[in-house]
Amino acid sequence: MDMVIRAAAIYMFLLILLRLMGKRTLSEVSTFDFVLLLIIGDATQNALIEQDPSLTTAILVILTLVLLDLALSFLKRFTGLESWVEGRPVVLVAYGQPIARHLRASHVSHDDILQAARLTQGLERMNQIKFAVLETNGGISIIPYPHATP
Amino acid sequence: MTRRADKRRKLFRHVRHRDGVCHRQRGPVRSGNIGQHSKKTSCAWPEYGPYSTNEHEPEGLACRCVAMSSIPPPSAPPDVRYPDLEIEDDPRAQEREWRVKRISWVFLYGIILAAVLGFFGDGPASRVTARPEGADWLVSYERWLRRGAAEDLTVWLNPDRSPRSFATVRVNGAWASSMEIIRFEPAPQTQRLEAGGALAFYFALPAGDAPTRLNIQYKPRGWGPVDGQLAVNEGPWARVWHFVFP
Repeated sequence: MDMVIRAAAIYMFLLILLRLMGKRTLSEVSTFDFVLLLIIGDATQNALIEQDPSLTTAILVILTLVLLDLALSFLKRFTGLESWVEGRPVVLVAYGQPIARHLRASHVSHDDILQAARLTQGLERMNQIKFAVLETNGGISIIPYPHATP
Repeated sequence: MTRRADKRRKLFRHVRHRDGVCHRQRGPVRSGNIGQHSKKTSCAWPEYGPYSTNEHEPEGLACRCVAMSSIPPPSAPPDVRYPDLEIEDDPRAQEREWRVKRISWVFLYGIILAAVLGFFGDGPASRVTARPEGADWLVSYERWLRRGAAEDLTVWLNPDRSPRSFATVRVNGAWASSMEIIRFEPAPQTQRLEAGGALAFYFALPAGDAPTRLNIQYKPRGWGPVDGQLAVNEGPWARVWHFVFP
């Protein structure tokens, strides 16, 4: 009973925390972020199983987390929860012009957009980008002008 | 507004149809719903003007009832921001989300600051020293505890006013049942269970004129408030109140 409640509380806390940290945080996982995730996992482990190393506890905690995730995916499909949990895409560049307010609020720099443009489309300049969109998974999708495609 | 009053006013709602125009139709009558209008007054809310359509709202949704001042003049260009891009963005919801995020970040930093100050234990905001009126001893403890985390409770005895060779420390039943005692320093000579679940510990005091320090290390068993009491010898009880975080 107690372990299920603890697992549910940790799940909800991490869900809200990662949502509040923003889309870019989830997408751009640097080496340091990876180490940070490991530390978070280690800190979470103690709270989840406390001092009970039994197989039963491990199975119950894992079941709780996976089934909560399943329940959330159902809720996202059948209610308006999806936009709340996943967010909505944000247009960062429209017709070659960066939208400063959206960049600032999303914590995305010009360099991030140009990097995505170089990596995904082989573009060289901002004015070759028709649209840049910050997707709900944190990635930046680039739609180039037709004549700018190499 | 009661259901009967709603029925009398014949509330309608306007729903966006395939042709992009809001059509009036009978809808579920719920007080205060956006897009509901009475037959006579055109809008259920007196402070709002006529309904308006929103270009971005899909077919079948209730049309919004907006304030007169926010309706753009007829000559204003339509709000089509990205005609070449089919995207389900929602600028208003996005602005709201960014605002919530900014507020939540302040709140999260506030939690860290509170932790540094000791509002989750181990800090100046948590340490409490209590001395009952007329007592020749004082007790020092942490007010904010965390479940399963060990803490110290210290009793200081003043040798000038308590020239005894022994001391009895009592904790009441509420405290004793909520805390698991890990160890004493110095160790008590003996201990005894008293009425109401209270525990009494008998300590032999060292010779000398220095204040004597008795330390009890304990950890909370559960979580929530613990309203305990502690006394030395037959003296008055000191309130020992904790809150244990889960």
